[in-house]
Amino acid sequence: MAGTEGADVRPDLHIELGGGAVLRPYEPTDADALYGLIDSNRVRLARWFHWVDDATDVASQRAYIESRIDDGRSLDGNGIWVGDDLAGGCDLMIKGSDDMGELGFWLDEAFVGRGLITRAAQALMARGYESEGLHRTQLRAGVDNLRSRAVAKRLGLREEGVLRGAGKVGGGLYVDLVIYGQVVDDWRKTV
Amino acid sequence: MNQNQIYWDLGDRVVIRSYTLDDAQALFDLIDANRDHLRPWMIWEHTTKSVDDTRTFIQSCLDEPVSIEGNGIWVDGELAGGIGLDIDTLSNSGEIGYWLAKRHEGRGIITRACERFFDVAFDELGLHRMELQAAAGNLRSRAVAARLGMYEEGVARDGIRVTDGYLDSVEYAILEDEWRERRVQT
Repeated sequence: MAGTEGADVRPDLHIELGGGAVLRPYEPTDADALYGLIDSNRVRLARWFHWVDDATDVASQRAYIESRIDDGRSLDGNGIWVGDDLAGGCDLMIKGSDDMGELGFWLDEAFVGRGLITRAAQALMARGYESEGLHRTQLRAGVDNLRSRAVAKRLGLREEGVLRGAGKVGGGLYVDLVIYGQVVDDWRKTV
Repeated sequence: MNQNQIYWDLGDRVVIRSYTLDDAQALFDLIDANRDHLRPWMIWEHTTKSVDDTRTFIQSCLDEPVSIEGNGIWVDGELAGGIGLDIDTLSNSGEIGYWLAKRHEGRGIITRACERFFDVAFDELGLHRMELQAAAGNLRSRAVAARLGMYEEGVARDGIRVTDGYLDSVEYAILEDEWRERRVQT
């Protein structure tokens, strides 16, 4: 697959987040930067994400990126760039049968605390509701992942329950996940 | 037979087996005869318009590499309903889903079928957690979850889409050690 095809699938998903930050889909040529950033944050990320164990080399990330490009509808497989530097990722995975989008995100330690994830998630939620006909957005965050849970609050998502042992994280461990949700009517009141 | 196709005799003339394409007509006929019964809860009721749709569904289940989707429940040799296990390898968990024709309700068939699936999920497949989503108003389905000893973990607002709109989804789950403990007791 050529390196430019990713942009053809979703040509308009290129969202300015302010302060020189941009959210856009990964392209195969981003595999080096993506693997490098995951690898340098491996210990932090493995606490919350199983996929860290699958990030074994650059080729694994190229395969991931190409699998995302094949998937036309979902708003996932996006990086957040600040200038030329990859800062993290933010996705909205769409479950079409229920008109639902599920947020997922991570950030390089150096970029934490600037509101990048909140702005990227807001942009993807707006896209999901307005362009993809989504009715609901949800987020599942580790009970102890206080930064993620703070993002959920800032996004106006409501806590709906705790899914016990529902998150498999690095090293084969399981964590409880808080489930947050928002329906489109609630979102309209906030924008 | 693929390894994720099944043929289980539950006793009392109840059998669960994976659909084959030869079942497409019987499956369509049963759904067609139960439309009013299924429509409030099952999104696929209104997308099942002809036997071609059930054939497409069965083929998609046959193509499924991991999950044990697309199984019929037969009572006295007649198709009575359906049940499927969706496996999420990333979280090592499974989600059960089922339906039953109206005239077979009230005999514990779904509970027994789920029990067999949970035994297999935890003992043979090594899953860590089994989930069930039931619409808040679907009291029969929620009673199954309670009989299985599942815990109500939350309510995803408007989490289920059906023909006429969106329904709150009650999230039930049971963990491997809880299932084993329950089995010792019963």
